[in-house]
Amino acid sequence: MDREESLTPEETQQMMEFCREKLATIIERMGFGAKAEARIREDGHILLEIVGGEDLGLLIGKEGNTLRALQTILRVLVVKRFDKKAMLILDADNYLLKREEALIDTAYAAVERVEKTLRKVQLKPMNSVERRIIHMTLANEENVHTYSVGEGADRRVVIAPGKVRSQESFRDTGDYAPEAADDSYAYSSESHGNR
Amino acid sequence: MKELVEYIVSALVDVPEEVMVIETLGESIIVLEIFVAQDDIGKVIGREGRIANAIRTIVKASAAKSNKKITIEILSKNPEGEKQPVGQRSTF
Repeated sequence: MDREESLTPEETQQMMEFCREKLATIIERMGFGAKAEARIREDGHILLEIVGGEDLGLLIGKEGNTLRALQTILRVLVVKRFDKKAMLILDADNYLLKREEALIDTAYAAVERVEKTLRKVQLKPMNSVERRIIHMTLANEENVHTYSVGEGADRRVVIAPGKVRSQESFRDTGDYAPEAADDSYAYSSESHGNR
Repeated sequence: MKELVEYIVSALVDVPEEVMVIETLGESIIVLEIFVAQDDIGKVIGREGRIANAIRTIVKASAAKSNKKITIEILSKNPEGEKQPVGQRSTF
């Protein structure tokens, strides 16, 4: 379960080709005309992209559910085949970047409301990666602080007035790591909060 | 639909020869029964049903393309060769 376990460039290359082939076959058998492309990002992550074809929305699923399911299966197959974990990101039609931008917009809209009303704003439930994007985006905001409440699928970010650097604000960066990361997206590593 | 499930499940298990998928087509519903070797059940279900749920989500997306509903059951072949239901049944 060691995410830091290093792979040789050859291994990464093999994993990438393996994943691309499996993904392409699964998409084809699902009845979609889309293609699977793959490349290795500078940070060493394998990026798989589903491109072209109709009905990409169905392949992405509600809030990215189908993408996440495909990613789960591919990760299991990689471990079975290579006995090592892959740093694997699955995207379709730039969904991840769009979702990230939407989350950042949501975060700033909430900040405006908090500043105006001086009341807390609770966001919709999100997975750990999404919550983390909100926390990171607002980490340097002067007038608000963020933390999470609720358990499991109902866990959500609260944006509250005042700059309080409680430990709680950063709890999500902790629970992001081991378990949850398996099933959640690793979003693109574009920096956050540079508005 | 059958080929899709066969492909994914066979890739997950240790004994792909034991994988059998039975597809029953109704008018608007498809029932898929997945049989695997008993020792492979865990590999298809996963911790907290994570893998089984992923399979269901993928199959559901595929079925949505043709406006069908899908029921998936995952079963094991026990040593006596009887069918043995594992996990919960779910309909989408």
